[in-house]
This record gives sequence, structure tokens and C-alpha cells, in this order.
Amino acid sequence: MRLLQIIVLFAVAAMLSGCGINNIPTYEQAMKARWGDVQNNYQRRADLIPNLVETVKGYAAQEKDVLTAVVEARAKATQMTLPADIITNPEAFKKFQDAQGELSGALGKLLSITEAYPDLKSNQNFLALQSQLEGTENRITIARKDYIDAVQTYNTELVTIPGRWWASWFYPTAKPAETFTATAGSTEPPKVDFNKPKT
Amino acid sequence: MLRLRAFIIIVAAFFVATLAFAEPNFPALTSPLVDAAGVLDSDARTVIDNRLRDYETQSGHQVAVATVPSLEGYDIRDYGNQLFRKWQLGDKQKNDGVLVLVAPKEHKVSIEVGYGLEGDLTDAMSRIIIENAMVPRFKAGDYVGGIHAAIDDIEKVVGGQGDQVVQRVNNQSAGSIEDNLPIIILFIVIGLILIRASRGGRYIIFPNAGFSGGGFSGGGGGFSGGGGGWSGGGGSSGGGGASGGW
Repeated sequence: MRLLQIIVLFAVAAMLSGCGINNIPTYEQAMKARWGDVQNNYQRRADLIPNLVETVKGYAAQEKDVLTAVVEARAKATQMTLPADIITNPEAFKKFQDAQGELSGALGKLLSITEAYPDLKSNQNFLALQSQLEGTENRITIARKDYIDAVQTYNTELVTIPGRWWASWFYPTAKPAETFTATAGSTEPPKVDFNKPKT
Repeated sequence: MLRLRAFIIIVAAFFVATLAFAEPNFPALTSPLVDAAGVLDSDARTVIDNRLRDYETQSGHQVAVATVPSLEGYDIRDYGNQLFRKWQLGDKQKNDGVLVLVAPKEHKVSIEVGYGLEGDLTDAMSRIIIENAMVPRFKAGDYVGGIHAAIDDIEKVVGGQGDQVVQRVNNQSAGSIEDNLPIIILFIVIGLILIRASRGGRYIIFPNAGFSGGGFSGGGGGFSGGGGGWSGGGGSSGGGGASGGW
């Protein structure tokens, strides 16, 4: 009799796992892993900046405003303490996104002013840093995309049947996760001023 | 009526689903060289194809070369990463694939690197290969030469001889005046010696300043008639590599 009970229990367990009872925690783990990739890549970018700033300073020290803006934006982005629940915390998530967006903007400006310094542009160290930075930005884009996909899967599971039922019965604390939105300005193409006389 | 509504919803759901998975029209992965843009002649294709197959047999790394007729409006790095993931280049565990993507119409080229090779074939190194091995040759319309030179360099870098590639590039490129200062001083000194020597009636023979262009091994292995299907090993890429244009 006991044997039968065990068999039934196993059968029920197998049926349950087949119909998606584990989907929510599985998708949540996947989403957290993708979020980890996003953070790592932003950190990687932050790590490149001090060297980049030093190199640019060597050739274009007069661009103090732009350089300071980068250093400050970096400090703001890296010194921010991220709460553990950041991906389900809209406020913290927005703060993170804004700080990184600001840093992206400052870096974009820094790279655009370097165009005016041919010596800097032919510096091997600068070229290496620049390509690393470009590569990192590309990784960030991809990590963000992967994260957005993972969030979409997770959030969809939370609101569709049967995931919705599983959530209400077994995972009442599961909350929909935050996702990236295009920051203001990031979708706009860079403006080119043709009126400015060429030097 | 209810049935019709359900039907419409299902159709709409499908439509939304296909929209969400919209991706460029990727060429099919039939062999390590996919010349979808048709910029290589058939002899060159066979040589490059065999070469890439041989390299995979020797080293285990999957290096693929693709030329595409159009990027369909996508950024080349975006297109390249999507194509890399679609083709799943490299071993599933090691993620040691490399994709060289050439878009002749857009005059763009990129190297996409699998997670596992990011440490060797860094972004900076990929950039060096693009700017030095490919861009000058592509500019001259020499796709075959550029692709071979890039594969040469990728094999060297992945094999741990990246310093050779960098050194060759440094020899080739005319640096800034500071970099050349020792050479300029050397020439002035030699010039002075020459003037003195000529007064004295003696001549000095210069040693030839050797500029090695870097040898290109043109041929692949003699393994011909492969031609069989080829598929990725399940690897993925997180966006390592670089891009350039000409």
C-alpha cells in the first residue's frame, strides 16, 4: 500500500513538472543570470574609463569639462548601491538605468571630441582602448537584449495560464520584473552641425 | 461568432509572435565559407573552404567566413551576433567559434568572437586584424587576399602568437614623428658619415632596412572534395570582436 502511495506521489510530481510548475523559478533564474551579464558588462565599461580618461588628458587636457563629466558620471554609476531586488524594484531599476545612460552620454561626447585631435587618434594606446570600449558597448547592447528577452519570458509566464495559477498557489511573492526602455537621446541619431566652419 | 473571434485572436497571436521574432534573412550555413554575396570565384571558395575545415580538424576551433548581399538595415555587429548565434559556431561547452562577416554592399566587415576565445582574440586584436589585414585589401577589391590574411592572423592570435601580428602591423604602419625620431636621427647620422666619407673618397653601403610584408600562405591543405555539409557545434557569443569599414 505504501509502495502504491509513493508511486502515485512520483506520478503526480512528474505530471506537475511537465505542466510547468517549475517554469517560474526556472525563468527567474535565467533572468537573474542575464541581469548578471548586464551588470558585468557595465562594470567592464566602468573599468576601462580611468585609462581612457588619462590617455585623452595627455593630448586634450583643455577639454576639462568633457573629461570631468565622464569622471563624475562614472563615479555616480559605480558608487550606486544596488538593492538585491533591483530587477523587481522599478525605482532602483530606473536609477540604475539613468546613471548608466548618463555615463553613455558623457562617453559619447568624449569620443566625439577626440575627432579633433589627430595625434590622439593615432595613439596606439588610445586605439586599443577605443576598440575595447566599442566592444564593451556592443556587449552591453547584447546583454541588455538577452535580459529583455528573459524578462519577457518570465513576465509572460506570470500573467498567462497556467503560470498565473502556479504563481498564485506556489509563488505568491513573484513579481513582474523591470526591463530596459530606450533612454531619451539614445534613439536619436547624433546631430551634425554643418554650419560650423571646418578647422 | 465566438469561434470566429477565437480564430481571429489566434491569427493575431501568431502575427505578434512572428513580429517578435523578426530577424534578417540569414544565409544558410552549408560550409565554413558562405559566400552569399558572391564576391569570390569558385577556386578561391574551394581553397578557403578547405582551409577552414582543415583548421577545425587541427585545432578544434570553428572559424566561419560569411559574405552577405545586404545587412538589411541592421548594424553589422547586431547582424553578426545574431548570425553567430543562429549558426551556433564553436563547441557548445567551449564556445570557441569565430565569425568573419563581410558586407560588400555596405563596405563593412566585422569579426564576431565566441565567449571562449575572447581572452585571446580580444576586441583590440580583432580591430587590428580588420584594419590591417582586411580593410586595405578590400578597398582594392581583393576579397580573397583580405579573407586569407584575416584567417592567417586569426589562426596566429588564437594559437598564442598574437604578438607577431601586432609586431608586423607596427613595422608596416608609419607611426607619428616621435615614433620615427630614432630612425630620423639614425639617417642624419648616417648622412653625416656619408658626407665625411665621400670627402675622404670612401663609400659606405647601407644595410637594407627590411620591411617584411608578412608571408601569406595561400593554399589550404590538399584535402579536396570535402564539400559535405557543415554545421555549428552549439557555441554562442556575447558580442566579442570588432568591426570596421572601407
